[in-house]
Amino acid sequence: MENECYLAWATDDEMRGRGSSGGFVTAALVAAMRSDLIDETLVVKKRDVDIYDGYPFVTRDPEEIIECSGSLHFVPLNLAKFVPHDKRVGVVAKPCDCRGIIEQAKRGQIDLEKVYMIGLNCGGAIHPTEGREMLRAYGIDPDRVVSEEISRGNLILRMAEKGEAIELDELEEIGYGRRDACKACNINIPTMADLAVGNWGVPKGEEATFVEILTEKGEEIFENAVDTGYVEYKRASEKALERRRKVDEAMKKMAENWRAHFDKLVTETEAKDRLHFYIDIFKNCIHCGACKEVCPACACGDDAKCIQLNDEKDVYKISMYNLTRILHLMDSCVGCGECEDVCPVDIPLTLIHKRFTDRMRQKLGYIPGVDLRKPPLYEVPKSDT
Amino acid sequence: MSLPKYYSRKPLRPNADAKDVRERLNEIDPEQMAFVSLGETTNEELLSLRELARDIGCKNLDSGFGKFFNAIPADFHEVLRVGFPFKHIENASKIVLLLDPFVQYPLLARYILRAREKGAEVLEVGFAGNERYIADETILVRSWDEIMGAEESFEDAVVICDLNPWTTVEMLSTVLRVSKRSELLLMKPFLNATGALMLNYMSDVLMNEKIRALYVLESDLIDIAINEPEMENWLSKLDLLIVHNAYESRITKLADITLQSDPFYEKKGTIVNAEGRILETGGCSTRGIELIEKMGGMGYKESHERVLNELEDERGTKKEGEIDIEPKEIPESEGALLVYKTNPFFWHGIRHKNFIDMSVDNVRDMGLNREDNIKVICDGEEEVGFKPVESPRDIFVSEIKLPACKDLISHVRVTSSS
Repeated sequence: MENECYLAWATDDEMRGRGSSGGFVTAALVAAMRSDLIDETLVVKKRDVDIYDGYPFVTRDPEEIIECSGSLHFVPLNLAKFVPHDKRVGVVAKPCDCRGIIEQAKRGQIDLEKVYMIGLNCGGAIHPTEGREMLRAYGIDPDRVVSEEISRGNLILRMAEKGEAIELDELEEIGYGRRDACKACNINIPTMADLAVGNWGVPKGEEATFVEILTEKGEEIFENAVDTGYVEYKRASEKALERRRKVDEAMKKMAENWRAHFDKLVTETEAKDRLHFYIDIFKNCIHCGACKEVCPACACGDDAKCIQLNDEKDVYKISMYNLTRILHLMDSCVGCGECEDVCPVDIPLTLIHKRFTDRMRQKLGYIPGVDLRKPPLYEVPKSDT
Repeated sequence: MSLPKYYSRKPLRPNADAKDVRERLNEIDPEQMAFVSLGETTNEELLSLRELARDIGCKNLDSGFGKFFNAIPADFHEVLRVGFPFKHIENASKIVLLLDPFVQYPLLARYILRAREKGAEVLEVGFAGNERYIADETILVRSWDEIMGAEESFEDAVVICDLNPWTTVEMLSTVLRVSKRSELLLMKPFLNATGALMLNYMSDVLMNEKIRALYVLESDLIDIAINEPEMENWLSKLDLLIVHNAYESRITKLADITLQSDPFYEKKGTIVNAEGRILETGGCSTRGIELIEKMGGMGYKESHERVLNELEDERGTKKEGEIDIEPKEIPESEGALLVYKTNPFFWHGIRHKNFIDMSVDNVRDMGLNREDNIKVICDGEEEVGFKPVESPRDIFVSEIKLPACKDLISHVRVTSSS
């Protein structure tokens, strides 16, 4: 079944009703847990009924998985550092979560054999505060939105009384919409996961999830859900595959435009002034360390080089903390944007790290988090050094 | 990167139960008793404790800010208690800073930076500048009189100032006077200080000799004291000191009774931020409030409902009024000044660095090398490291408490320690 694509849905009415696109993910996880295929599941749980606030949640209770069904595009969390150790765990993960998990695995923090990644197609997430502001600007009371999804370039909102769709392009042209990291992200289908799932490719009006099986573990999860009667499926048609490919291409195109835009912000600064450009960006850093704390690629503790080499008494124009992090992340940043989200002084870290990882990608063809390949700087044979 | 120091404090061990505590409280004259919390806990716990005080017949509730409410006319109390939406900062055309947001209130910095991006003029007024150049202009003063002289600069601005336990009534009155025609935001260094004030923790009991018994909730009064030995002496002379904290600290060592609560991040409830917004905390523990309930306070559910009702529609609006408190004179001196930039570590007894900032000129004058230390001499002397910064000669800025210097601005002598 590996590399096969299906349309699948939960057989249970409640799971189908509460989950997105036919409730496949919920049903597959519940089945895996009840069949003892996994011990725990890591999901994002809404805080009460608030779609703008959620937290990483590990559960052993299938009923709690059902409670956590549905998408949360206003909660941009990266789950990589929340994966429980030493347990067989199912993770519902965006592509950047999956990439973070793989980077953690490369650094010996996670045993990938025990992690079942159900990767969600992702069109991006919206910062909760900005999301609320954006909805108000559109005359929508944010507290009346009961659920949302991003599909086919639209942000689709469901209020208690009606639904509304707003084009992402339109939102982003007027300065709203997805986080900068998401705008620039061109990995929308999590091909590094065990299963890649989403609604892209599903015919209009059909309540089903498009499922691509990518690994043996993915096959195990899918077959278990079918064998235990939690899921029904049919083979994805050529048309469905084509539709999915087109959505992916459209999202990639949007990302390329944004990447060019962000790149221009740097390249418009003449090369000779570029050092000052970076000095100016980092001058507000208060060295709180929050960016390191949330970084899914960072596996170091208090003995990290970025901390050990830094001395607040130093008077360098860019601190050793920031310089070391730039170097460290140029071969490991997965572009999730968590660092920028938590930065108390709004340093555009997405832009900076993207600038350096892009160079690594262009020169050495290396993309962090998409496979278990070691970073190129570790791959240089001893004889060449 | 010093945050782990904050979270690695040792949990406090309890030595009594609720019944014992209530019995001990019943033995004290309620007028000689006080309940103090700086507000580092939820509104629900504060309200429950207030109900316990009421049950006992005690009216003394202090948040460490009581001295200002006694001295400043009531017309200004609202602005002392609660601020305004931070959006006002972001949308301001002019901002006057009487603090360093990067050091003192980092989460405020982004609003000021965004205002700057939108074209706001940012002016800082104070005894020391800000090495991150957040301001378009810096007015350096050497006395509070000089701040009064800059009054015109405050007109129609959003003025942001720090109000902390070391602020004097004279300093506060100066700020209130110069910001008559501006929007004033008084930031306080404790996470729910606004909630504590809105729940009427406004008595002035600290260091009061009449007080014989004290119930301290989630606070270390020694860490916030200007004169630590004096505060320790006062606390140790009390007939009964009950400390109800999550972590061990200096005050817990003096306590007759210790009660343990969960760390703030595990507590269920609400706080009020500096804007006056009620925010839910992230935790789910009600252990602390249950303990207070057993002593005669209020349970979580009822307390939560009361909090929401009491705090609804409370917003700071500045009232017009006159203040006749004259600024305190700092004796004229050509000498050096040590200026404290207080910060969260400062108020929690954590020494997160071991150096102070000093002017490059002073570094050259003293012929100092990077590894050298300096001696700061005031009421006593202390040896520390230094960081050279671009600041005026003879202005020394400290983010750490130096026991020798017991004022926000002190005249000092600084020499090389070698």
